[in-house]
Amino acid sequence: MNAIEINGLTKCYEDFKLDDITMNIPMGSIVGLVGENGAGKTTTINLIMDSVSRDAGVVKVFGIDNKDCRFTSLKNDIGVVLDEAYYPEILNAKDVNSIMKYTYINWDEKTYFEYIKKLNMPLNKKFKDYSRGMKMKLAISVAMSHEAKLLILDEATSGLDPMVRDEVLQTFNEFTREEDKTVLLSSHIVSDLEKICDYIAFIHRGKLVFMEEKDVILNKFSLINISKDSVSDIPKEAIVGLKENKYSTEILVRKEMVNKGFKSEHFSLEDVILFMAKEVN
Amino acid sequence: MVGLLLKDILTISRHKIYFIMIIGFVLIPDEFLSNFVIVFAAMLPITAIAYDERSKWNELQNMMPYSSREIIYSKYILGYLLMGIVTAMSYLLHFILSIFIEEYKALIEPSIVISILGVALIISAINMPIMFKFGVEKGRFAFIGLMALTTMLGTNLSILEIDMFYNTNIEIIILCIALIVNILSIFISSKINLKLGGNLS
Repeated sequence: MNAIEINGLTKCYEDFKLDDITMNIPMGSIVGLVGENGAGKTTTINLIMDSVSRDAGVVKVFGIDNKDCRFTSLKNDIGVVLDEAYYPEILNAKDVNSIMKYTYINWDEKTYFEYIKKLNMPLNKKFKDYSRGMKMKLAISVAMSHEAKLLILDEATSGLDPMVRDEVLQTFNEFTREEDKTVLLSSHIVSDLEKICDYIAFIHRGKLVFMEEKDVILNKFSLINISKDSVSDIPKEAIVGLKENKYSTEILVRKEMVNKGFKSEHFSLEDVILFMAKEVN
Repeated sequence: MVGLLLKDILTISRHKIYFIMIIGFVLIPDEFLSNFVIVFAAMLPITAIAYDERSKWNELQNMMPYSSREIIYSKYILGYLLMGIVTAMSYLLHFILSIFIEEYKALIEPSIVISILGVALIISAINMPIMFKFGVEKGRFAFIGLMALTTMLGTNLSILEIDMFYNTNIEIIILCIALIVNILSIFISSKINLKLGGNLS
C-alpha cells in the first residue's frame, strides 16, 4: 500500500508551474524529494497537505483524497516540519507543549520533553531568541511527538550543524523501523538524502525527472572519464550528461548501454542529480 | 480549536502593556474613556492575527488538524471571550469604585455598558473579514476609517442631542444589530478563508 499517491498534480503560478507530477510513496519507506531551490518541492508538500489548492490532479494520503472532509482529522497522523518553524515568537517550548496538547489527539508530552532534552533545547527561552537550528529542532520534536504515521519534512535538516543533522537523520531512520511509518523528506542537501532514503524523487523546474529506488539509481549509471576524442565511441542514447574540462570529459552513462570495458569512477547520487539537471537545462 | 485559542491567549497575555492599558482605561472616571476598554478588548484578536502573520503561523496551522471553520471561529471566540471578561471586570471595578467615589456611579448604568459592548461587537464584526482578506497591515487602515466614522456618528448624535444611551431599550436594539452583523461577519470570513485555500471540513 502507498502512504501517498499523487496523480497528475498540477499547480500554476504566474512565474512557476508544478507540472503533472505523478508518484507514489510506498508505506514504510523514506523518500527523498530533491531539487534545486524553487524546483517545486515545497509546492508539492503544500499541495499534499492541501494548504494550497491544486489546479489539477489527485492527491491521496493513506487512501483518502486530501479534498475529502476526513483529511483534516487524518492530519493527526501526519507530522510536518516546514522549512522554518513558524511559532509565535513570544512563546517558548513549554507553551508549544500546552498548545499541541489541545491540537493533536495523540499528543505525547513525555515523548516531546524527551526530544527537547535529547536535542538540548531550553524550555523557557522565547522562540524569538532561538537560532535557526533550535527552531528546526523544536519543529522536529513536535512532529515526532504525536504518534504520526507519516512524516513530511521540508528542508528539515538545513541550518543544523553536521552533528545534530546526523542525529536528526538517525531519528528519522529509527522512525521507519515500524513497518507502517513513512517519511517524505525534501532537501537540496543530496548527501543527507543519500544517507537515509530508500527512494529518490528528483524534481527539476516543476517537473518530476525521476523517482526510483536509491540503489537502482546508483546501479543504473556509470561515471566514465575519457578523452575528448573517445566521446564519439559512446552511443548517444547512453549519455545522461557530460562535463568537459581541458583534458578529458566526464560522462554519466546508462551502464547497460555501454561497453563493459569502460571503467566507472566513484560517483554519488549528487553527481547523478547534477548531471541530469545540467542535461535538462 | 482549544489549542488555537490557547495559543492566542498565551501570545496576548505575554504583553503586560495590554493589562496596564485596560486597568488604566477602567480607572478613568469618564463615560467614554472608561468604557472604551471594551472596544479595546474587541481589537485584541486583530493583535493575535498580526502575531500570526508576523510568525507565519498560518502556514504551520494549515498542516495541523484544524479546519478552516475552526481557524475562523477561534478568532471570533477569542474576541467574545476577551470582550466578556473585560466588560465583567470593568463593571465590577466600577461598581466597587462607585461605593467610594460618586463619579463612578454613572459608569455602572447597565444600558451604557451593554450599548458599548454592542458597539464593540459591531466594530469587531466589521473588522474581522477585512483582516482575514487584506491582512493586518492593510486592514489597519480600514479599522482607522471605521473608528473615525464611529466617532463622527457619535459626535453628530450628541450634537443633535439624541441621548441614545438613555433612550428606551436602545441597548437591546444595538445588541440585536451586533448579533446580526456578527453572524454575517462569520459567514463572510469563512468564505474569504475558503477562497484563500482553507477547507470547511
